[in-house]
Amino acid sequence: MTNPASILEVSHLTFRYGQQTALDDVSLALQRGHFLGIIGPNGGGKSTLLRLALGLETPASGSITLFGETPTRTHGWRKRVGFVPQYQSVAPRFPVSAFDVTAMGLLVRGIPEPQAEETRVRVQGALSRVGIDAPSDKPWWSLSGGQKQRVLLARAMVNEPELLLLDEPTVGVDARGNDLLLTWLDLWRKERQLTVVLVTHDTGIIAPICDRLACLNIHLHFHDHPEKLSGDDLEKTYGCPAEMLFHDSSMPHRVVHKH
Amino acid sequence: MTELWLSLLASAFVGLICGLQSFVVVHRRLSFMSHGASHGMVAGVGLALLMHWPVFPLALLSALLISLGVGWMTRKSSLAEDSAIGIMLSAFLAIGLLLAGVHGHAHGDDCGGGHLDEYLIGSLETVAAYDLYFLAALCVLCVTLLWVYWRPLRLFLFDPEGARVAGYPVEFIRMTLLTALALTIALSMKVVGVLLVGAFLVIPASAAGFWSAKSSRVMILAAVFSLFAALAGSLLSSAFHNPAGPTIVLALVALFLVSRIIGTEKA
Repeated sequence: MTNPASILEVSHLTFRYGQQTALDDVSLALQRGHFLGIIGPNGGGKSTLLRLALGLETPASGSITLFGETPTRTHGWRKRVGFVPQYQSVAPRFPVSAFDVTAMGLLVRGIPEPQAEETRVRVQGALSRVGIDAPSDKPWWSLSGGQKQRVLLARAMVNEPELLLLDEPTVGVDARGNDLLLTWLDLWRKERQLTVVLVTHDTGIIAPICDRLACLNIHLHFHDHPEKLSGDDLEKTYGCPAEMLFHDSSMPHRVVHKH
Repeated sequence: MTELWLSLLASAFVGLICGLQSFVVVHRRLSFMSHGASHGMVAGVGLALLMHWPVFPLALLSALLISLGVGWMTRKSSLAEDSAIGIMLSAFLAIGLLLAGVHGHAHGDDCGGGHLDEYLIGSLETVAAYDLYFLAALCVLCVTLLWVYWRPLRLFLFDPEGARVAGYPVEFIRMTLLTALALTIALSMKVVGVLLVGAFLVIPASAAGFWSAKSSRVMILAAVFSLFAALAGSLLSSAFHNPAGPTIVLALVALFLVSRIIGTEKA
């Protein structure tokens, strides 16, 4: 039974690529304003979970709903969801500007596009929000990795979504870019009650701002209190010795296993 | 209508259609697929010549079979797309040459229905009025579709997964583009020939990319380059009694080199 207050609800979800199980009996529920960080190794099923949430794949069993809708069957949820892929997944030499890419976020099937002036205002607003103050007609190929990722974030935000899904947004982005990204996400979440799901294999970036943390490696281990995430949890998820880096004092410190 | 006007109009339509399509071919990375589909049409041409059947539908069928065959060979398999295209291209080319050879042996110089050479390098003299009607119809269709679906198409070319997330039927768009590509190649065959039509589908947008970083401008410029090369090549080939296909392609290559050297956008 779907909880009407749930933004994203996953119930006993299993998914397979052919004979290979990618996700097994995964369940989670997110309410408005939640920030869920999902960590796990490459191939652990993180991106697959996002693809299922976006209706790009169909579960083998179990269910997944967005705003109470089954994403593969309906379209109403699309205007309420923003998706940020890795910048390496789009055509690198395609002749478009930062403005054009951001405006693509306003294209949702079945929803009329705004008038040119409204488009300009919304796109410029979204670009400024992610710190792209350079001329927005700069070609896509001339932007740095960090700038490209920010433009894709602006594209996802231009429709003012209620749920933001981010797939490894920090890959290929420098430390300053990562800090900015996390700062904005935290700000927007508090300002607009934005619900955020961020998947990453980079355990270092996520714990400080998310209020829910899950480790995913085919099975999902949910942690309602990220600060209680232990080295054992990480070792189970990654299947190898893990070390932890803490940021909750002025000097980050690292806890390393006995060598 | 005089023969020269007929051939110039046919070249102009082919130039416009191929120029517009080249934007999709280059940015969807379909260059090798367009070469594979065009070369593979030799199978349809060979069968049509041997059986004295109409060439166009069989050539189109060959191109569609290649597109479908590549899809079938690569779906849920480890075979890379370029390898699948290479296999299909070689197989269809071999079948076509074999059938054309049998046709040649059977008929000698008196080849009713035409020679394979006419289709390999193109022959403007064989263009008929009904070819023009088909080309004009395809041109109108391409321009209309691009006008109406330009923004979703641009999203699809830039980020196919983003287009799916936005709710667009990506698989339908992909199949429509491949069908339009096969139609374009089959209809351009008489003007530039199956061996050279691939160049017509790659060079215009590649050259145009050196002049602008805005997609609409690149597409329009590609059509202009392609139209100019088609008309210039046709006039030159008519003046010097050379085949049109190679002359048009050399005009395109010249445009590409000029664009590469003095183009303002060094992407």
